[in-house]
This record gives sequence, C-alpha cells and structure tokens, in this order.
Amino acid sequence: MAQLPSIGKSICVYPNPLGFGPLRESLARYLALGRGIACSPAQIIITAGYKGALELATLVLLKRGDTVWMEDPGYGVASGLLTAMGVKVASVPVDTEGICIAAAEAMAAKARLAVVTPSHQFPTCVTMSLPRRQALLGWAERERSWIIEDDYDGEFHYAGRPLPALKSIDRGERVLYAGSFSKTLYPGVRLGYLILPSGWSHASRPSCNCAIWGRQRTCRPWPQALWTKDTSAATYAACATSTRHGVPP
Amino acid sequence: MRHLYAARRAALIDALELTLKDTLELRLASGGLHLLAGVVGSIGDTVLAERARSRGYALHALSAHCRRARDQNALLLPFTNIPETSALLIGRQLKAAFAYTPR
Repeated sequence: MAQLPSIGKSICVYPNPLGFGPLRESLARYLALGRGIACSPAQIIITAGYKGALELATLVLLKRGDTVWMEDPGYGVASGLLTAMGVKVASVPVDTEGICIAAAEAMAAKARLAVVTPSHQFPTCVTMSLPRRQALLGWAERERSWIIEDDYDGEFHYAGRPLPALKSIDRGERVLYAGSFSKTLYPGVRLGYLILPSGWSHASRPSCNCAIWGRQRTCRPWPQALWTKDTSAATYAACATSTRHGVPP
Repeated sequence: MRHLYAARRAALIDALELTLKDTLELRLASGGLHLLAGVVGSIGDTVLAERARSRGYALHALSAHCRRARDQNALLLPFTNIPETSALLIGRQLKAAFAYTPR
C-alpha cells in the first residue's frame, strides 16, 4: 500500500471514466506485444471485470429485444446477464472449429451481436479456426453487426504458437475485444478492459459516454494504480510471451 | 505462470491416464485452464461431478454449461491449482470419489 500517498490527490477529483491513464497505456503496449492488437490507449476502457465489459457493451450496442449469438455449450453467466438485460439469446452450436456460423445464420442471420471465445472456447477449449474467424467477421461486416471477443484466457496456450486475437484481423472494425486480469493476476479486484473499434471514441457517441459514467461506479482508480505497477515494466508481456516458448518468466 | 500451468496440466494428464483411463476420455486442446474429458459408459457427467464435489473437488459437468446442446457427457477438470506432485494422488482420490455411491 506504499503507493497510496502518490495517488492521494486523485481522490479529490472525478476520475477519468475510461480508467487510469497509465494502466491503459501499459495495456496498449502489452496487447501489441502479446495479442497482436494495434490499438491506442484512447480505445481502451477499464471495466469491472469481463461482466462489466459485457454489460457496458450491451448497453451501448443493443436495445431490448435484439438477438445475440451465444456459444452453446458456453459461459452461462454471460447469457444470463444478457437475458436479464432484455436481449434474446440464440444458442449456437460449437464444433471442433468453434462456433458454427452457418447454423447461427440459419437461426438468426439478423442478430446484432455475437459473443465468442475464439482463443479457447469456454468450456470446450477449442480454438476457433481461421476460416471460421473470417466467416464471422464477414457476417458482421455484411450485417453491420458487432462481435465481442471474450479473450479471458488467451494467454494460456501450451502447444505451438497461439493464433493472434480475432481483433488483430478485424479490418472492418466490428470487434470489441474484452480482456481480463482475473486469470493472469487476481479475480477479486474485478478489473477487466474493453477495446472499442478505432475512430469510435466515447465522445462521438453520447450513449456510450453516459453508459461509461454510469457503469464506472465499481471501478475505482486505486486498484488500477496498484495494478499498473504490476503490469508495467513489460513484466506482464514477458509473462505472456516467454513462457509460450517454455521459458519461465 | 504459463510454464507452471503447462507443467501442472501435463502432470494431471499423466495422472488421469494412469488412474481413470476406463472412465474418462481426454479431449486435449492446445490451451485453456481446465482439461475436458468425455465420460465413458452410461453414467452421467452431472452424477460424477456431484460425487467429486461432495468430496471437495470442484469439477463441473459439461452438460451443465449447455442451453440447447445435447449429448455433451463430459467433465471439466481444472488443473491450475494442483501441484505436479499431487496429481497422482488427486487422480486416485477422484477414482474413489467416482466409485462412491451414497446410500
């Protein structure tokens, strides 16, 4: 807790609703190194864990009654949250290449959002194939729909080189990437982050701005400042890259 | 961290092959924070998960993560909190837990 005096002044002002600046800068560097994602700190919003990111994205992107593709089997907490927020969940089957896009289109081609876990599908651990990734991005571009990439455990790949994040090949800017510290550091602090598409700043979308201010009540700057110390000095990226080649960090 | 998890994962795979080969069929992927193993035979994954949980092992049934999907009789076995030196013991204890039927 030795860091607290240095951030003492921060409690006298309203915090940046996007999150603690140095943490977002550190994350932008890590994401380029570790996940192949080119983004600026301005695109990153610190959230109250993945569920905070999903809630924020849903508030900004969807209206009640919209349909969302969810993987089945999948993360029940996420589909429960979306159902509670008044959107319809289309349960899409998963095979050895990940979510079945053809089945999803047959079920609900006009869905507004697809929530996927491309790195290691939860709970089957299947990695989404490149053709499936391209089909998913193609659908989102055609329908002007959105994709949330839940990369909760993208760092934990043990055999061969991991595929870069889906976000890294998102040329049409349809993907909102959600990352989490719950698996790499600790789940109890409830810290995650959401990357918005580029050129899609919160200021250009009033609904997004309101949603961010409204939802940041659980996301205070102190833990973020402490986190920044842990994640800076490239420690976090080293942890994510060196061990991929079997070298302890 | 990934190095540690890779070692723990490999140790649990070896232990399960030695102790539960007749009950579980590992479906190995390249990553993740748990192993997925199909259940061999007619017993349900929720029954095995419940037996393990009653002995203190936090296993999950794959079918419990399904909304409409069917025929998903498999277990999720977390490995991140099992030290390499404990893996074999855990395998044996799981085998005993799976065989246990409460009266």
